[in-house]
Amino acid sequence: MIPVSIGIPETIRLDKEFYPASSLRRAISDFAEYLSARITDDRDYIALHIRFDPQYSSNSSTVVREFLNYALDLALKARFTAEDEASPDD
Amino acid sequence: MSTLKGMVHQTSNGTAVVVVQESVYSLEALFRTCYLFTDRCYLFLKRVDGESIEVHITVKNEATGLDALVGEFCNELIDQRVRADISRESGKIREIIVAQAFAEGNLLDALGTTPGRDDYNEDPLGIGDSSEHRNS
Repeated sequence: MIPVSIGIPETIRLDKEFYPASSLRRAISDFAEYLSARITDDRDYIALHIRFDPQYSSNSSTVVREFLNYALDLALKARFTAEDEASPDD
Repeated sequence: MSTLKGMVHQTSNGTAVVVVQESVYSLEALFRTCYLFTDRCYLFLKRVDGESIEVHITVKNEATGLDALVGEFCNELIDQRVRADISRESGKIREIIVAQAFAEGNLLDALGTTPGRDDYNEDPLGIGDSSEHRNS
């Protein structure tokens, strides 16, 4: 589902509307212990270039899932926080 | 996963893929649903085309049943869609009720076209009368 090769940079295409760059940067910073990654901004999507520390090779797929789930959670949290601030009556 | 055949079109290794049609469930409903589930499962969103979004759902805990989790996710989608519809339909009324609760005057009769209606001593609704009536 989310293939990652250990030690080899993998690129995962992410939709900007679900994974904004700000959330990905924060997630990369928070997951720095487990993986190294950088993002490049294309016109239609964000490319996540990811490389694993070999010591986490046994569960790399899980770490990537954790990472993407965390980035999505950050994006949604930011979205709903902004909405709540815009409409305090709700 | 046969019970959700059509909407859940692929499963493998504890992962299900739910295809969400934007014409049925708004992005808002999808986002709110996802936000409720990020602590229970791994989610990955991927736009398939202009109309469809794939939601990859992977269980975090092996003990958690994927079928039940996907079923709950789909139900929550409907719930969030209905919530959005109701909010849109009753939003104006809710705003008026909240505004009235914090306002000093009668917002519905801001021009004062009904003299004495806001006057406490006038008791236009007869609240004092009914209270005395109950006590007697």
